[in-house]
Amino acid sequence: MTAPHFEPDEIEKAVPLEDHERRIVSEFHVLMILARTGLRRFANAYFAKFTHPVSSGSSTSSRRPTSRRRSISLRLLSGIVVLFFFSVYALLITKMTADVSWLAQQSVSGRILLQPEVHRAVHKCYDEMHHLHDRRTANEISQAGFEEEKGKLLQRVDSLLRNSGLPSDPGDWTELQRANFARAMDAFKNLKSDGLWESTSWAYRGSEVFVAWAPPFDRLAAKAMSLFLLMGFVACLLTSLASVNKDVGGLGWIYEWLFTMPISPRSLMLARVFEAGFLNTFAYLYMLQVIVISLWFAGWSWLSIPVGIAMLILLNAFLGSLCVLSETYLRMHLSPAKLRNLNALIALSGVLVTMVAYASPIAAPIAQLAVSCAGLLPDIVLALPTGLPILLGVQAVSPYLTIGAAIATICCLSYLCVSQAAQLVSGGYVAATGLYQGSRLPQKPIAGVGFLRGAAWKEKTLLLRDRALLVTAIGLPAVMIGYNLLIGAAALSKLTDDFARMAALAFGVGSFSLLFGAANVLALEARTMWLVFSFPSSLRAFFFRKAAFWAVLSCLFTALVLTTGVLLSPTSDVLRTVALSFFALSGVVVLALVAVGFSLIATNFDPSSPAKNAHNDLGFIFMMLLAEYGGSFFLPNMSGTLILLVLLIILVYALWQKSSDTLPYLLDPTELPPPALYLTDGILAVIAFFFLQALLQMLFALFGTGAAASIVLGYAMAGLIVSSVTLFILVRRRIPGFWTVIGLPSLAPREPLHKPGSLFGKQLVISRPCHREAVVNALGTGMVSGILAATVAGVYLFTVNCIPVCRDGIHEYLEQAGTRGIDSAWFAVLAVLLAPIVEEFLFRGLLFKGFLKTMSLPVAVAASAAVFAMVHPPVSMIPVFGLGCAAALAFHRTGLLMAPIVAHFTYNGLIVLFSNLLV
Amino acid sequence: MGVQMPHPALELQGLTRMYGEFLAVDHIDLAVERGEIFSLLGPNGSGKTTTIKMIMGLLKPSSGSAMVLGLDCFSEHPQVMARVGYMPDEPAFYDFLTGAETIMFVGEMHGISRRDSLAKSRPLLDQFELADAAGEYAVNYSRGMKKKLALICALLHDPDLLLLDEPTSGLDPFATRALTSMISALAESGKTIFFSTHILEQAEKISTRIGILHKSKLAAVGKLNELRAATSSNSSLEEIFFLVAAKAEHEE
Repeated sequence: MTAPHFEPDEIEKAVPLEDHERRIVSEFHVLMILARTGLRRFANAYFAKFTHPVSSGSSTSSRRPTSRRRSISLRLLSGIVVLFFFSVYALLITKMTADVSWLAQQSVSGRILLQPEVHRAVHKCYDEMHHLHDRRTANEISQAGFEEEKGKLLQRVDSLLRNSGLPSDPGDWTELQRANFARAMDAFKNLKSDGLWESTSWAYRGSEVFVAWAPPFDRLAAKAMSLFLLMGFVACLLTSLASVNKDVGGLGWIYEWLFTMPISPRSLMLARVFEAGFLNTFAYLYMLQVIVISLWFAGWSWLSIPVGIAMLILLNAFLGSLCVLSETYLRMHLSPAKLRNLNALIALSGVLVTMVAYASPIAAPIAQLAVSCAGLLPDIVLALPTGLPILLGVQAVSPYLTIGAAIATICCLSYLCVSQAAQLVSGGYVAATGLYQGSRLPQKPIAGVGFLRGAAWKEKTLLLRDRALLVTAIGLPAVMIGYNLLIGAAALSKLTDDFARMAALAFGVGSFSLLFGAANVLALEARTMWLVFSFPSSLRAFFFRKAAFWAVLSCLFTALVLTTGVLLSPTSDVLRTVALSFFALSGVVVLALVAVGFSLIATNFDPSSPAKNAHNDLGFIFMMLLAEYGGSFFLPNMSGTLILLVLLIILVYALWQKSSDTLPYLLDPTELPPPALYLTDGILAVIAFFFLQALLQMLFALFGTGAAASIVLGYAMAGLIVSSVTLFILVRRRIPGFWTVIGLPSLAPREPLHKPGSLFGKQLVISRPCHREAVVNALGTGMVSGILAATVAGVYLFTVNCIPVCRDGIHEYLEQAGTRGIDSAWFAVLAVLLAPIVEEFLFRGLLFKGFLKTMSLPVAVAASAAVFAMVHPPVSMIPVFGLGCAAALAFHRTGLLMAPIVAHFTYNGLIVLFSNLLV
Repeated sequence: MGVQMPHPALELQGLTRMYGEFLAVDHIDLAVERGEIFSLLGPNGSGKTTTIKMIMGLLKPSSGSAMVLGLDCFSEHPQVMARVGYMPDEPAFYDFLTGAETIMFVGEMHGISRRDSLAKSRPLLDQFELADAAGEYAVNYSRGMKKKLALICALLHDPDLLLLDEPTSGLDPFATRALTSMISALAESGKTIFFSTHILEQAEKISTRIGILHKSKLAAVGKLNELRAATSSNSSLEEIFFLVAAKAEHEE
């Protein structure tokens, strides 16, 4: 390779420009290009979440089609989820609009409220009256007959109105009610439908909101809905602003780069309008629904969808222009540090408003509040850009006028905003107060040397100075409390009733602050990870200190809420209060460690783009654990919480055990740690099993199956679901030697048969020759261990049976174990046959093997047996512990999963025998 | 032979790294003795940064090993880090810590008290003209200032080996001169410097030994006069570089 060398003219000859003309692209073209690029960036960012790094451990090229297939199915799934959420929300907003409409009519006080059936009856009477008049006109009925029928109908309507909507004693009626009653009767007599419907009102119920003859969507309702639209608009504006300024240096750089192209500032601003206004998902989720559904209620039926979309486009344009103007103004006048802090405030308010908007269909008080506010505000609210789409629904105003006004106002305002923004940057895009350019600034005082050292000091200092982090980690949990109280205004009294609720709230608040601090540990350290690597301490120690810091911080929150609870309602049950407080605090500490642990085992970590790392695949699991633990506070006794706490502690151990394998690959862009079976898989499966079992049991009980049957069914189904899902996930991970580790070598697939299209690209061959001796050995060992365990259990049961207090508990257990009280045979099959297989797979195959990775054999046996015993009813814990140990030992000796399964069968069979003997 | 030879400051044995199918670093064998100034040259994409990252323990080698003073870089990471100072190509710091606070933090993480860290860094701050900016948030630093700060942080704990990734890119002539004279002074006092660069003139001026990476392989290594002899040319390092590259290309 010789040194590169260019001849003069060579470049020009290679890329000739016709007539050496400098091309300037038209503004419209620029807009199209920038808009298309913006859309492409948005789509790429969204879909980037569904591509996974390809593990270099495999050498088969068949991996590539699989991973692409996987990402397509994930995208489809996400699309379905989004659609589902969209439709659910549409229904909720429909209900909200109905509520608002009704409330608005109610507040035009004095209207006679009719129940839906009554309303229908009145409507029917009205139709009959109409029909009667027609018959009279056609001379089908005599005048006398006519008067008689009319009298009957009037009497019926009279009684309907009196009985349903008005106080029983006419003396209690208000003036307005009297007037409305007279008006209604008069309208009925003279067939004036407007008069009738303007004096009555009706209460919606469920599906009736879709009935065609809805009451007129009057001005008050329109004002209230426009307030909701305004709220949605403000939420979109704030979140757009916040997201734009998040990466302070980043966006500025992009803009400076775009400015070097031959485009005018105005085109650039217009392109930003498109990005900020139209690529905002909340607008489509909330604002579009509000507009369309309001118009539907106003009687536009199917036209409301295209009209609504058109109005949304106008609104989005305005939103985008406001956004662009604000962000340009802010960036020109604030330094990066100040901008970041202001951004934190904007983000917080944005989240607040968004959450209130999300809550508005669910929380009835918000609809009431909106209607009351609408009553106080002048009609001019409807003339705002956010009111105009709703104004279309008010029948008194001409739609053409409204649409014309909407287009005119919004276009004018948007044009003004964009021109102003362009004018702001006309003096140069780079702000004067930009990056440090060498100006002499006064020395900032060095942060005081407190009792904190090293990493803890750094965390504290950064937390206090980085307003964005401070707001999300501390401000948001505080907001969440208020938000939850808003959702259920009566919640405060309910909270002080039962300390369990207070403890749950305390735990929720504390762990919520973890979501932004501990769960985001990697994202926060993304860019400075190189510095962390250069310290002479292990990464795990560093992250452990981080976890400790966040645990302490979140505990402060929890402690605050707990003390408030104790002070507000001192209870006499001190023991319970102390226990609940302990669970709340320890839950927060353990979850902090879990959150950081999850961050540590994440593998698609990219230090150059911190935004991408905020999306943590395991964040979803973390939230589930959070909900599970918080929910367990509401169970009658605290054993569930205790068990969950112990399981979570084991999960912490498992995560930090796994991290020692995954941490060396943290900054590795292409390599992944070799796939292996870890304790985390086992313990997460057990936690899921534990939770699902309780959930299904509850569901079955709700559906009316007997108590014992629902326990068995719940157990069996939970086991089946969890095992199949876990197996599926683990098989896809393509762990080498997976089936052998699990103890099912006969299920291991043969060499790949180059047949695409078969399951996972390989053929599963079930009947691989397995040594007869090994099988016989396994059977034998299994049976022996089963018999031993059953003997121990029998001795224990016999001993305990002598103590009368425990006898009932034993009988209950034996009943369940002996499958009594269960109706059909196949329940028994489920209990006796399925449970052992599933349990052995989870507890011995996964959990025991996971423990064995870092613990010695006796400890691993004891630990897996202890977990096994924990998830069983207390009366049977000791025998089950014995079974667990025996099964684990059998598994270890033979290496086949058949052994513990056989042990379990034997044990179950013998227990059934015992139960029939004893009872 | 009872005396054990002291370990070389840096020893790479068959160091290899693959990014999927792409071979980024191909079996590098290298030994840098104490007190040497070694520069690793090579065009972009030849594997310089990857090599340094493997020495730092940020990446796991696909095969082979990197040892610093006899300690394996990957498995004995904390001990290696106590003896190595690292300056990356594009340093990033905590946004809301000032320069001085960053120095104190790094010092504390290396076990040096805050007062000592500040005292040690003061002459360095003056020399690199960062003294005024030390009270400013690191987020507001320009690229050159961040590199200077990274260099100061790398020197705080008196490392035996300095790993510098493109140290002079982004530095003005004053800072470059300060850096090169500091490198020479450190080498004289027994420290080892290992830096990667593609500014050949600088490498020529200060390094005792030069290694040339071409397409992930170590195409040539040795003192400047050795390289001259090997390529039978009496010219500047630039010409030698292109000759070595051409020869490596030819041998493929």
